[in-house]
Amino acid sequence: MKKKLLILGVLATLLLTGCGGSDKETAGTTEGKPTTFVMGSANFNGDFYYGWTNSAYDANIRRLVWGGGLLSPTDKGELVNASFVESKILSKSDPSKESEDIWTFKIKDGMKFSNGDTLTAKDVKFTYDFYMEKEALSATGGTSSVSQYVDRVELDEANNTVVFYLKRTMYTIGSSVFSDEQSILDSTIILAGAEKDGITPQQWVKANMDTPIGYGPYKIDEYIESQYVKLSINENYQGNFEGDKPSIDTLIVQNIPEETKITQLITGEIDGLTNIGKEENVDAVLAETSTMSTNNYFRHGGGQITFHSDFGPVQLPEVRKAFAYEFDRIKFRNIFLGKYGISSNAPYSRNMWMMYEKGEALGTEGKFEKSLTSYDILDVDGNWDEGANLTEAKKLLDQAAAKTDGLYAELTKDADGTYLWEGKELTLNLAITPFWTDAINLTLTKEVQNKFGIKINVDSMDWSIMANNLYGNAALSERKYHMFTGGTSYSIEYDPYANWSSTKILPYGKGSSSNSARYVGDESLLDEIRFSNPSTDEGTASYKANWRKWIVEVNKDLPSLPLYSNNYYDAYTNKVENFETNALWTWPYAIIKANFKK
Amino acid sequence: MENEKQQGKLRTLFDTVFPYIKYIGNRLLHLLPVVIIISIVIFTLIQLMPGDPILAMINPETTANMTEEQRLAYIETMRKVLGYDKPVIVRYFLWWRDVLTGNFGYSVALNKPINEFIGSYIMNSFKVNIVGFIIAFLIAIPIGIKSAVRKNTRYDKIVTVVSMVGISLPSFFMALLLVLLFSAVLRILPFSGMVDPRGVRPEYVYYILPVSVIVLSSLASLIRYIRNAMIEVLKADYIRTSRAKGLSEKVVIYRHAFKNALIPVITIIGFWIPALFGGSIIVEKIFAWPGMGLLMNQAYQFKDRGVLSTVLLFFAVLTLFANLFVDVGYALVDPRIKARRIK
Amino acid sequence: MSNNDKLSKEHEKIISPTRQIMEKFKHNKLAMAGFISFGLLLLVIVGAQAYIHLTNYDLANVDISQKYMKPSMQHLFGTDAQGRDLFLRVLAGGWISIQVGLLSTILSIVLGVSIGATAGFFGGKIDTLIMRGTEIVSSFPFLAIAMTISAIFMDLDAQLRLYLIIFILGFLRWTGLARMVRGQILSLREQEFIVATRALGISSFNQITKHLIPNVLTYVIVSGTLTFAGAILTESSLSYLGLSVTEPIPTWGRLISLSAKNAIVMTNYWWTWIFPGLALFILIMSINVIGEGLRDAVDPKSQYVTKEQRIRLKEKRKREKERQKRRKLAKAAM
Repeated sequence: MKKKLLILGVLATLLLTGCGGSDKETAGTTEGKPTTFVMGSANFNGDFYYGWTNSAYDANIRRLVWGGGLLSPTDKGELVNASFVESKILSKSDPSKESEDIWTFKIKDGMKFSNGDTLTAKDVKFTYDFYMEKEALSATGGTSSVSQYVDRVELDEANNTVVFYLKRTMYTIGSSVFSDEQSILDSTIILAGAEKDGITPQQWVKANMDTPIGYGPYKIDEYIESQYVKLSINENYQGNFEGDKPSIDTLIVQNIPEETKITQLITGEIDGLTNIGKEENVDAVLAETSTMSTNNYFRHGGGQITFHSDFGPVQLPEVRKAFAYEFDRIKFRNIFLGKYGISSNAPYSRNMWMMYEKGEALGTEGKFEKSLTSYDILDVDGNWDEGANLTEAKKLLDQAAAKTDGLYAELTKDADGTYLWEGKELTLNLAITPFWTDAINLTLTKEVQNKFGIKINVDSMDWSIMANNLYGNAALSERKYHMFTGGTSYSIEYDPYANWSSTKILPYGKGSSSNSARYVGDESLLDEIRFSNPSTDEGTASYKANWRKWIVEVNKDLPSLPLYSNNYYDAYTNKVENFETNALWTWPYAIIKANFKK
Repeated sequence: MENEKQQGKLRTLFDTVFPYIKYIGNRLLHLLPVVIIISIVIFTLIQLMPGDPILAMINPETTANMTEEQRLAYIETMRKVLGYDKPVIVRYFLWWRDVLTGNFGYSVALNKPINEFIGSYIMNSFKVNIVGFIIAFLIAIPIGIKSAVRKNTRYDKIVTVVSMVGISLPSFFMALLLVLLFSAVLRILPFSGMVDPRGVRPEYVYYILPVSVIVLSSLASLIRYIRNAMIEVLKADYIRTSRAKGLSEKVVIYRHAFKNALIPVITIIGFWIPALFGGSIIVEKIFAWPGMGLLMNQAYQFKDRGVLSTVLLFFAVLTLFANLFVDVGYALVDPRIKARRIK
Repeated sequence: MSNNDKLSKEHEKIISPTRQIMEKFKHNKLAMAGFISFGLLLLVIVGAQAYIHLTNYDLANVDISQKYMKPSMQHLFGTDAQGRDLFLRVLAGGWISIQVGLLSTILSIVLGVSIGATAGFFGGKIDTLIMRGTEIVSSFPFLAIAMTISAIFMDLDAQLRLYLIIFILGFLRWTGLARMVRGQILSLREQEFIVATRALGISSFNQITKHLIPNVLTYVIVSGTLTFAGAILTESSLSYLGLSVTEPIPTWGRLISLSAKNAIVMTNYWWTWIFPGLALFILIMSINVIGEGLRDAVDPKSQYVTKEQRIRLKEKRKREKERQKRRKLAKAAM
């Protein structure tokens, strides 16, 4: 009896003393007290230098520590000179060249990293050489694509200037070579460290991956693996594209488990959370009108089903499109994430300016988007009209079955109305990861398959195995799957060539992650898009027009079927104001402008 | 005279202890082939895991912007780093060589040698487990004894029912219910993590919920063991004798019965040794507790063969030793088995 | 004396051991409560399963407009995230959960008893070999094996995967039982009635099956009930990790996991986990209680305590306390 009372007493005291620290007064109070903002995040790897693991969560930390490379983003999704860059001059190596392939950057004098080391053109040259040393880099497990675009870099130390000789200018060269991926490294500390330890700079960086030195708004004070990163204001920061400097003294990016993240946000345990997509979570956050503010925008990317356009029945666009009609994307979306999302009809997102005419607002359904074919026919109430979709699908299949030239000969229709491919019942094999299983099973039910006449075999597998099949990294004799689920995210400046050029297709068995749809489209169109001149108005107009042409093409041919683009919500305590995020202006950039209310 | 007496004493000590040493030695010898077989099974199982280990590790975002030759070069480098350019049998022996020399391989998930981080993960699980087990013991012992003494009374029945709650719910469910109650509703405990990033809450506060889950799930069986062992002991003749002698109930229980009841219980602790170093995958995920459970979860997700084979082997060997400990304990206690061994 | 009259032979009742066990069990109120609740639960579940079969109820009937409705007359347990009625889903889930538990436990028992009996009976080298084999299997981390095998057989149909899981569960859980059976057999072996069978020349096989095992059976049943409970709990953990069945097949573990993946769902849509959680809890508790009751009933040294005996014990303890108090006062006075 006594022992029990003792134990209960101990526990009670523990609980009571534990109480003491849970008041929220420490978070972001005003009147001269230092302000702290806790942002919830998924787990980071601690690889805070670009080139190694590249998880999105590590990238957030990187953006806080550096704030971009030679170019940094604006809140409209454009890239402008970073605040430590004095000027950027473009020139042509030869007057006959179509666009400028020599980019000269002059760095301002007196620039510093957060630890006081000087930031000069020397650091810029060091950075690009660092990432172009392929063997040294891959020996530590790092990668970089800079050498694909840059021929060489020359340093003019006296004038604090760096000159880039590019292999070829492309429309997206800014984001590929000069943006926040290519954050400028502190050559002083890296070279000193490498020499002291007798290793290459790449090895030194790998060994010191979680203590990055940058010139951005914040610097890392403390990093506890799997727990949190604590950052404080970098006094040497030059400001963002408008010269804004951060006002929140301490930033804590904390690893929060998925299960309790929304509850933690609502109870005030953490101050902010981004990319909230699931309906239950969004509803819960939106209900807290007295304590929470939200921003919402469409995801710059989404989930899709990719077809292997060179294998089996899906070689015929009619089959692909019939499947698209069979697939009730509205039902799928609702099961998968709830009501906050849309299904686009080609590889675009509503954050792309190319989708809109003058006067149309980003994020809405513009005229151009309306003009594309939608693969979910709706009835008057806006629900999925099974009958209408069924009619379309059958029409397409019947058309294809009637044709007999080339591949179309394989697709036939027998007396019962069953569609056959190579004499056997028309069957498509879909590879998915376990994350999709429930939603796919409930959407592509046996009933639906029977009605539409296309049988679907769904195999769930580990992501790495599916990736191998998707990229063509498996044995040709074992090739089985016609379609694959997956997700994509688009970069700020979008170049379809990277993922859709037919030059990227390798024979099955060798494998490549580019153009995983193995689609052969209008190659010359892709070239015109990518080689548009980024610095003239004509170039921009040509880019937009050709890009739209390409969207119309892939909307008609459907090498991949976009399934959903989330409508993301970023939520934060309403003690903070001026925290405007959107798809192209993510929170590590937006937080510079944010401040606690007085 | 004195020397002879001492020698005699030593001789009797030797005689009693030696059979046990022989038994243990015998078992250890038998342990060796078992360990080898288990290692082969584990190694084979890991090799059977679908997916190319190198390709599994490569983040497609990393390679998306590489040229084909860059990507192939990168794959080749990693293949060499992980040692997959050698045939299976060679890899098996290399694995053993590494393990025995303390090099536990390379983790593809965390991109660093396993030695660098495995210690802290094990420690984190251990910290929570040891506190939980000690508290479970402190609670279970008095309750178990009282249940045994008050057998079949209302007290006993209530204890039975309440302790069973802990084993009638899945652990993740219990964890979430506790989090909801104490963190969301009452707001007196933190939701997750090991330490307060704001530096306000003391560190032990973060232990409370994870430890509670462990305590609640082990209380039932522990109380049961103690209770049953105590009941067995209380039936013994020497207990009746001490009662007849007129000793008070308290003395009878605590001085005589309790000590003997503990012996079988202590042997059961042997089963808990592997559990001390492990962690529940689900519960650690809910509390963002960077322990073995979380590590294994990551390893499965990324097919991190290095971590999996090393950790699985570690636990297998630990379990074997725990079994040995328990069997020896039983032999010490059960006179029938004792007799056979000494035969 | 009237009592003596009753001591004639006709009034002597010889109760068989099984009958004795049942009597003891019946008098254990707690165990009976468990038994009754288990029985009721089983009845409802079987009834629901029959209903589902007869009406061809579609467990995949997604209706987004009905999602997350609170419990009402139309939907006794409310609806889930896909707008499906939870009442039937919970009951259907019980069917599968119980199947999983039952089948894997039977597998465990069969393996455990036969292997343990063989080891205990033959002893010597066979015993050593079998015991080493048991050690190997028992030191396998269950979750590791389950995950690996699940990964290897990813492309199996969900129903087949469930049976695979059952197999894994049963196959990895027989070691404890085998050890216990072996121990029992080892001690039983030396007893007279077995020596007698040997003397009579009964074959080893018959010795094991007809004479030894029946004596062990009672312990096996007790252990079996606890294994059953454990198997169902493990299945729910596997569901949480996504290693168990997939839509649209429900199990209680799955229903709880779907909700438990998000604390917000647990707070705002409480009916999605309260009902399957409660059902699971009641099932497991009743099984545990039955198991405990059986264990007590089976123990030859335990006697069920009648009410009169309990009152007498209470009196005894009160008297003991008085005695102690008096002794203390006496000491203090001294």
